[in-house]
Amino acid sequence: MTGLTTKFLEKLCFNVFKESCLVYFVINKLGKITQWGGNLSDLNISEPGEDDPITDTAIFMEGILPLKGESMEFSCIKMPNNSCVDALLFKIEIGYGLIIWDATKKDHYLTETQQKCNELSLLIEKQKNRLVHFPDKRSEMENETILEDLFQALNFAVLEMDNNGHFVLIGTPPKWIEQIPQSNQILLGHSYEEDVFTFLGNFIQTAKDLWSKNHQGSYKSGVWIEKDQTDQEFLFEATAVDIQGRKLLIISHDRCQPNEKQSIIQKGRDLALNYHKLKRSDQKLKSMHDELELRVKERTKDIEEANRKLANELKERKKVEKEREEVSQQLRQSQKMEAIGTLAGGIAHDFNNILSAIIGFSELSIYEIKEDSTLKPKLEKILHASGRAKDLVQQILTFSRQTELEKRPLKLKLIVLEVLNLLRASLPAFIDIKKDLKSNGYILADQTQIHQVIMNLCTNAWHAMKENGGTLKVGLKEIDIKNESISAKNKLAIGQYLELTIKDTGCGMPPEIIERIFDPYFTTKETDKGTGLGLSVVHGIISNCNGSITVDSQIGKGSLFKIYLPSFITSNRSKPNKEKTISLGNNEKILFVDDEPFQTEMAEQQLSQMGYRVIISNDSAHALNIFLDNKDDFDLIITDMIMPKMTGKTLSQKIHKIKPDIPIILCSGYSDDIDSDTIKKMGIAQYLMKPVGMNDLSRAVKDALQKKK
Amino acid sequence: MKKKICMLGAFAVGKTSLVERYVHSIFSDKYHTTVGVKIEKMQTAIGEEIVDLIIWDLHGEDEFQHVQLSYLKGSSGLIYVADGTRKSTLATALNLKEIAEKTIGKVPFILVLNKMDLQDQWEIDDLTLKDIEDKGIIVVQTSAKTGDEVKHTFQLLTKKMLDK
Repeated sequence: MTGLTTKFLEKLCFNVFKESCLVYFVINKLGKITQWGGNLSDLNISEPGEDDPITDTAIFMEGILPLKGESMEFSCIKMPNNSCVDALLFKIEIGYGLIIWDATKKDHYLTETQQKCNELSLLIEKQKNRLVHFPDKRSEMENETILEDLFQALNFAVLEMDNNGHFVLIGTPPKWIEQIPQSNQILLGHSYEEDVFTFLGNFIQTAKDLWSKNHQGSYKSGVWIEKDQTDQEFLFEATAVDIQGRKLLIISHDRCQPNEKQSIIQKGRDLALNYHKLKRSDQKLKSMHDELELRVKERTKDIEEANRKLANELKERKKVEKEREEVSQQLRQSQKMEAIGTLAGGIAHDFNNILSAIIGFSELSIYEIKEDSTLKPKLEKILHASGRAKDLVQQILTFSRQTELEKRPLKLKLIVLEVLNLLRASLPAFIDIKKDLKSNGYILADQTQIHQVIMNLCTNAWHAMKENGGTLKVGLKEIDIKNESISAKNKLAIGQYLELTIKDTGCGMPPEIIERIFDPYFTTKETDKGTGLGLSVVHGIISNCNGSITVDSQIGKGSLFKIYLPSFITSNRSKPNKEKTISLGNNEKILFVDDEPFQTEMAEQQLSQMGYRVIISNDSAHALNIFLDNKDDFDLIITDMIMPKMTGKTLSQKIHKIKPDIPIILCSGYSDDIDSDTIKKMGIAQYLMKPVGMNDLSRAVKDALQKKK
Repeated sequence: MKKKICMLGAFAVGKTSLVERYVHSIFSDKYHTTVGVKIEKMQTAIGEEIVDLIIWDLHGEDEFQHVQLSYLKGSSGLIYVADGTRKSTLATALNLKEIAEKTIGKVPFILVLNKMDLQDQWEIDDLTLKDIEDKGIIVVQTSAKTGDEVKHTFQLLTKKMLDK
C-alpha cells in the first residue's frame, strides 16, 4: 500500500468514524494507547495523552487486559460521564484494537423492520395480480403457498403440530432460524420436540391444552428475550392459532433494541415486583384476616358473655317486675278490700242505727202489748230477723277485716258453721256440703283470722270442684297427740288439739304443686283470679296459733287439708249466755243525745219503761247547754258517737271537764269510731254497739249507775 | 491504586441504589432497571493507601437477562446483594457467587442484605442468616435509603482486597 493510499484510507476512516460517532484506539500489549481516531467529544470522552493507559480513557477496560479470547464485546456500558456506549475489543498484531460507539444511536436496527414492511407490500401486490389473472385457480395449494409466502415475508417461523403432537417447521424457514440452537435439526426437516424452542416450553403445553378443549382464536406467549449462538439478544413472541383444524405456532422474531429491551425488562421486572408485593399483600391480608377473625371471636366472646349477662339481667328484671306486679296487685286488692271495709263500715253504721230502731221499737211493743196478744209472735219474729240482720252486719265487718285482731277463746265449731252458712249462699247447687262437727272445743285465736282460714280453704275446695261438681266435707274433732313421731312430723307439741279437716272431691294436685302451695305468690289460677297469697296467709295464721296444716292430694280424686289447733282449756272461758232480764231503774235522771230523732224517741220510751227519767236531745251542742244548766240534776249521760256539730267523744270530754264523776255511755253503730284504749282513758263507763236491745241497754245503764255509786 | 468491584445480585435488590448512595450520596425510591453495565468511580482511603474503586454495577440477574460473566474479568472484589424483603434474592446471590467463583476464581466478597429500613417486611430469619455466617461469609445489612452501613460495606471490601 502506497503512502498516498494509506493517507487516503486514514482520511476516509477519520471521516467515517467522525460521522458515525465511532472512536477507535490502538493499544499496545502494555495497555497503553498508541493511536486513536474518531470524534471523542460526541461520546464525552476526553482526548488521551501519548502513552496514556486505556483504562484512563475507557474506564471499563480496567482489569480486562490481557484479553483471553480473540475479541470481546461490551454492550450498553454507561460511563461515569453519562455516555452510553457499546464497544468491541479485539486482538491485533501489536496489541489490541478497541472500537467504541454510541449505543443510543442504533438506527440501523430499524432497517430490518422496514425491510419486512416492504416485503409485505410486495406480497400483497403479487397476490392481487394472481387474483386478476387467474380468478378460477384458487386452490389449497395456492393458499398454502400464499400463507407460506406471507410467513416468509413477515419473517415468521411457523411450526405445525403433527398427529404425534410434535411440531414440524412448514414453509421456507426464516434466516434467523440458523442463529438459534438446534437449528440444524430444524432445517433438516425433523419433527421437533418441544424443547427446540426451550423458552416456549410452558407455552406449548398451554397451547396444546387449549386446542384439546377446541379453543378458538389465538393465544400469545408474550415477548421473550433469547440469545442466539453469537450471544446476540433477540426478541421472540409466539402465537398459537388453530387455522381450519391446523394447529400452528407462529413465532415472530426481532433483533433486540436497547430501548425496547429496557422497556420489556422494566415491564417484566415491574410485573415480578408487583407480583411479589401482591403475594406479600395477600399474605398480609390473610394474616390480618386471621387476626381479624381472632378479634371477632374474642369480641364475639365478650358479646356472648355480655348477652348472657343481659339475658340474666332481663330475667332478673322480669322476675322483679313480676314480683312488683304481684305486690301491686296485692296492694290493689288490699286497697279494694279496704274500700269494701270502709263501705261496709259505713253501711254497718247506718244499718245498725236502723236495726236499733227496729229492735228497739219491737221490744217496746212487746212490752206494751198483752201476753196473749196475737201481735207478740209477729213482733218476736221481727226481733229474731233483726237479730240475724245484726249478725250479718257483724259478719260483713269481720269479712272485710274491720275488726281488731285479738286472740281470745273461740268455739271453733261456731266459726265453721258461720263460714259454711255464708258459703252455702254463694256455692252452686252441684257442690254438696257435708259437715261432721264433733267437737265443741275452744281454741285461742283471732276470730277474723280463723274465719279467713276456713273461708279460704273452703273456697279453694269449691274452685277445685268447679268443673264437675263434688262434695265439700268439713270435719271437726278433738285429738290427743301423744306420739312423738306424729308430733315431729306435724311440728306440733304433744298435747290436746282440735283437728279441722276440709276435704273436696275435685281435680287434685300433682306433687310438684303440693310442694309449693304454701309459697307466697304461688298460684295455679289465672291472672287476676288469685294473688297466690291465700294459702301462705293460712299457713302463717295457723303457725301463729302454734298449730299446723297438712295437705294430701291425688290427681282426679281430690285434696284433704288438715288443720291442727291447740285446744284452749281454761275455767275462765267466756260464757256467751247472758241474762235476759231487764234491770229496772230508780227514777234516775238520764240525758240521752242522738242526732237521729227515732233513736231518741225510742230510747226515751225504753228508759222510761225501765223506770228512769229521760231528757232527750237531737243536737249535741244543745245537749251540752242542757247539761250546763242542770249539771247536778243528771245521773247518767248516754250519747251517740257520730253526730254533726259535736261528736259524742267531744261532748263526753266537755261534760267530764265540768263534772268528772258523772257516768257516760257511748253508743256507736260502727266499731271503728273509737278504740277501747281511748274509751278507758276518757273514763267512759260503757260502750255499746248499736243496735242495742233493751236487755243490753238496761244492764249497761244499771252497771254505769252502780259504778257511780 | 485502582480496584474493580462488581455488584451482583437479582434484579431490584438495590445494587444501583447502593452505588448511588456510596458514590453520589443520593437515593431514589423509583426503580429503574439497569440494562448492561453502569460504571462508577470512587476514591477511598484505607489508612494511608488511596484506592480508586471502579465499581461495575451489572444488570440484575433474572429470567430476562443473565449476568455477562466476561464482565467479571479483572474484578478485585465482589459485592453480592440480596433484598431482605425477598427471600428468593438471597438464593440468587448465593447462586451467582458459585458461578462467579467458577469464572474468575475466589476474590474477596461481601454479602449484603439491603433494605434493612423495611424490617416490618423482612423475610430472612435469623436462623438462615446464621447458617450463612457459619459458612464464613461476611454478611452486612444495609439500607441504601438511609445510608446505613453502605460506606462501611465498601470500606470493608476495599480493606479485604488490600489485605489479600
